[in-house]
Amino acid sequence: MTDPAGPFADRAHREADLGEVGRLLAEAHGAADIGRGCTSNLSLDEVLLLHAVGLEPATVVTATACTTIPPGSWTWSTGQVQAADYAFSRAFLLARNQMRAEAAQIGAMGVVAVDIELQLSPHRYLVVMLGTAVRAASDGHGGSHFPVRYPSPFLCDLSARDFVVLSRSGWYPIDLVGGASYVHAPRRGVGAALGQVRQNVELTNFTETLYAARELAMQRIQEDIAEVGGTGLLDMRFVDETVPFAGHVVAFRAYGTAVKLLADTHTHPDLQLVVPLDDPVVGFEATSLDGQR
Amino acid sequence: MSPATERPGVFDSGLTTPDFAACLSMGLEPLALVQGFFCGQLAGWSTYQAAVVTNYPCGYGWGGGGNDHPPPGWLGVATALDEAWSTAFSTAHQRLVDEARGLGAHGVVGARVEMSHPTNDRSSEVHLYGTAVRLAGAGAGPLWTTRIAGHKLAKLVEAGYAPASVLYSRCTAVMYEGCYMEHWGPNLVGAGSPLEPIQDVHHLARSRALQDAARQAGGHSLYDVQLAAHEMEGRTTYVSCQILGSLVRRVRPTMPIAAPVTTVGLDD
Repeated sequence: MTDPAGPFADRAHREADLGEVGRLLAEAHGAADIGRGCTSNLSLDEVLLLHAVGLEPATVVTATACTTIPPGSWTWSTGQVQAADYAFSRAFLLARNQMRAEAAQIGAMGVVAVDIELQLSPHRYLVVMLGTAVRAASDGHGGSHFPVRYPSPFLCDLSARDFVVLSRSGWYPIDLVGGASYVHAPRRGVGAALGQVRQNVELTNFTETLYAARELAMQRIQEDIAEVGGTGLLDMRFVDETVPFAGHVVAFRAYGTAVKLLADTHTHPDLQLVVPLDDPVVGFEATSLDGQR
Repeated sequence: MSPATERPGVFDSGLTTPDFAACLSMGLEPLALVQGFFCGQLAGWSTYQAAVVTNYPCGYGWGGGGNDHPPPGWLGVATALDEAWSTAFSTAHQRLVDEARGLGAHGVVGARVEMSHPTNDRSSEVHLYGTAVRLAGAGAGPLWTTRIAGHKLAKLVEAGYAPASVLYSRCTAVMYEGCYMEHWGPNLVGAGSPLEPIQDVHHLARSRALQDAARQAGGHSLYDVQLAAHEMEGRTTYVSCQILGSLVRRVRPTMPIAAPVTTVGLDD
């Protein structure tokens, strides 16, 4: 994102601007405040971008959900660890609903830049969400030029910059969606294990379990997208790993923002090529002369 | 404590070269690198000192403690610990401001905050430093501090804001499980049941820290909120949430901002 004036437009004026800014800052020193306050974990650049599409930050909202996983769930078995799958989906749903309720309570249009923290322990799943609730910014005539009216606040983990790029293309975030799957890797037979002890071989039991976990998690996230009314998923984060306290269980969890085309057509943004002039300076190192490097 | 001194014709600063050039163009004259320190001792703290917010009912339904099971759980706030850190920050910040004021500055730009335990867990150190600046043409008014400088500061002012101060808030929430969690624990309620005390302690720490930040902000706006949560889990769970942000004042109406242009940088 850049100023549409371009880097060479009215250069003298741009230089004079800093002096003008200094005068404005001097005038502001001791001047009275106007307008209403807000809290936000967005940077000023992001706030300005949101203003450009008719939104402004309202307040930081947070949600926490913690659900149980019964003892014995991680004992080596076969198939899915259904208790963990359910604990994740339930905690994700509870946190999502709690955050939406908080946003609705303050009359926000949605929540952007949601940071999602997932904590798994043997007996519970903790989901913590934190983001900035946004509201319609007045255009000076009592209205807002943000074109969409959501029936209930949207949630997204897109940055404000990504949100602006998305909305200018005609697409809008709908909701946060997530899916997770925990699957036991089957044991190798004793004979196979002993026979392969000195070989470089693929552990097909783990490879196949990883595929199975991936299929289940992606199926769940696709169902979640459809359920919230989205048609696609953006900014997906996913992790595949073995569970730290149960090395025979393969985990695949994914979450992201469900989006939908709400404009009549997709609009491809006009891209302008920019050559930044702030490359790092190439330094000269005297040690390069001694032939050692 | 010896204050920073100004040697006529000489300045020191923590500014980068681009920030220095931009500040001069804005009429901000750097005076000196100013600092505020606070080192303290954190008094020993026990759960008996917690300000209880919620008492959880007896998990087994008959109330009270006894030999058979632990007493009911509760949720509270370690206010003494939070106040100690908040006082350490506000004192160090005030010392930074006093040092800048002594130099005739109007504000401090590029402020940085460092907080640590210098010797052990029962000691605290807060160190704030930044560059004191004098603003050509400015009248009387409260001295401001900001974490930004240079073109970012110019952008802030162009958008209709003026810097106010660096803000710090925190909340340490404490939850004693007691018998409530035994009853509602995972062995009795199955998979996917909400564990309210765990939810509560995490939510209380974050929401109280945010509420305190909003209270300190008053009618001002708070941007760049950085939130750090730390958890210590056991029979008693502690969740500590700290917030650092930039407080700004709106001094002019929102300016119409041109629609951004999407660019592709050629610097891959």
